[in-house]
Amino acid sequence: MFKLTKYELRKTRTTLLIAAACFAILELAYIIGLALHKDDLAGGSAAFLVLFATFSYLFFLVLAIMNYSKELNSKSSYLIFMTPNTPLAIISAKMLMILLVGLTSLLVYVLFGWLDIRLLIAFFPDAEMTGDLLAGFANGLGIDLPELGFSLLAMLIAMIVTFFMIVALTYLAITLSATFLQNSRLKGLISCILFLALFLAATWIDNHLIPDLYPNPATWQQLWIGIAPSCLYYIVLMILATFACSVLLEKKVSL
Amino acid sequence: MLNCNHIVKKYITTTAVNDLTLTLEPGRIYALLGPNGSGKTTFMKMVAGLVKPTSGDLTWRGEPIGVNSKAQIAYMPTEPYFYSYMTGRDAGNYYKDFFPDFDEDKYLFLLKRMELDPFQKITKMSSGMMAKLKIALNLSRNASLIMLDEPLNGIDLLAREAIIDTIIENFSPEKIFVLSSHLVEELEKIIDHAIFIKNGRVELAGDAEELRETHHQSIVELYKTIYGSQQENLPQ
Repeated sequence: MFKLTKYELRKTRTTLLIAAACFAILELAYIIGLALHKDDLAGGSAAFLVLFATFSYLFFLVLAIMNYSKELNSKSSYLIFMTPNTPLAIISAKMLMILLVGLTSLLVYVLFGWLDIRLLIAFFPDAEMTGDLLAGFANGLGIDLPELGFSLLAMLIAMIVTFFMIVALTYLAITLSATFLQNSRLKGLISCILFLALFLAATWIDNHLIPDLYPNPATWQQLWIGIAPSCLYYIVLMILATFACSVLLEKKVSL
Repeated sequence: MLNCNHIVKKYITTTAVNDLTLTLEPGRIYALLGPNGSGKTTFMKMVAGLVKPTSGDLTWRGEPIGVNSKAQIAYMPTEPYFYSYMTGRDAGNYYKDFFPDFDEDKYLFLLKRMELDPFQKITKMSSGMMAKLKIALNLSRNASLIMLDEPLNGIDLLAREAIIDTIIENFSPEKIFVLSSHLVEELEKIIDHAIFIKNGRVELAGDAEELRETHHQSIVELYKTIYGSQQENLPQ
């Protein structure tokens, strides 16, 4: 499966390199802005860096979906489906690739975010005082910063799990389109409707049937426990969707 | 040995393979003959595990087509099937990574012999160069069953001879070769079995020499008889 993942990464290398180059340009602009005390440049690029980091996850989602859809509808799919690998290994390799790209980019964003803040303090020592002032202000409002950090981490984990659930459901809809619905003229439209139906059903079950242990969590521990059932449900859903894709490809593949 | 029992493959409006039954045995070079749309490619794709039959049994060495058979069967599609970033070298590395029977030295030798640059991007290759590359890749596998779909397509007359020589050199008694082509004249020289497919069925099949003797026609003439206007003259 790791060999398959290697080739999944290789296929998207150019796109990822372009994204990395954009990130590097923004970082460079930020550093130049700080060094030359050009507040507009530093501030603008910092804002774009935050936007870039946020939207890159949407981009990864679209990239993962487009790649899979394109693969099942192009001759290059022969290259992967001719190899002695199970459909489960093929699908899992694609998921692993997205996970690797997502986690690596998260690490890069956190690392550069920390470095950017250190740089800001180095060039503008007042910034540290502003940080201390904000921390004091937050304390005054009764906001515990470590608590806020743990809460944000819980939300991040929930977002990652939701992200993979969406990818798995999209893969299932695309696989259905390429297998059971291969003989249907409206397979593209039907697979879109299928995805929406699957997604709405999944979220409806989450909202109505999965228990919400702490609707208004008072501590970060309560928040973590509160989101656990939903996260577990989405993980199970993701695994089931992945297996369903594998079975469909095993039984009905037509490339 | 490959066994196909009453396999059928249906699409929206067409039946690409219709109740096809045949057996392929080691030590033979089979020509899979028939015009476009006769079902040759769909049959090979089913054997390669790229298409699932709608019904019927398809087994390789007694097991259904799957991971094990894919490790032992090489299939060369007629279309370009490489990733856009790939060079000849990348394609070789890909095969080396996934097929334990891939012989890298043989592949590099075949590339050199066919005057192909391993570092040239495949998307920049002419159709003839691409065809040679596909042949080099698939013949570099020590697979038990090698299926080449239209191996002579897009290749000039001189290169065709070189390719046919390469195919013959790589054949051995424990292997099965299946070659599909419209260029029946070129194949007639090297095949020892012919399978004529028409409308998804086996119209006529057998040892090439026996077919010639029984029908008093060459394989080329039989092809014309089966698919041409002389169909009614075909002996039963």
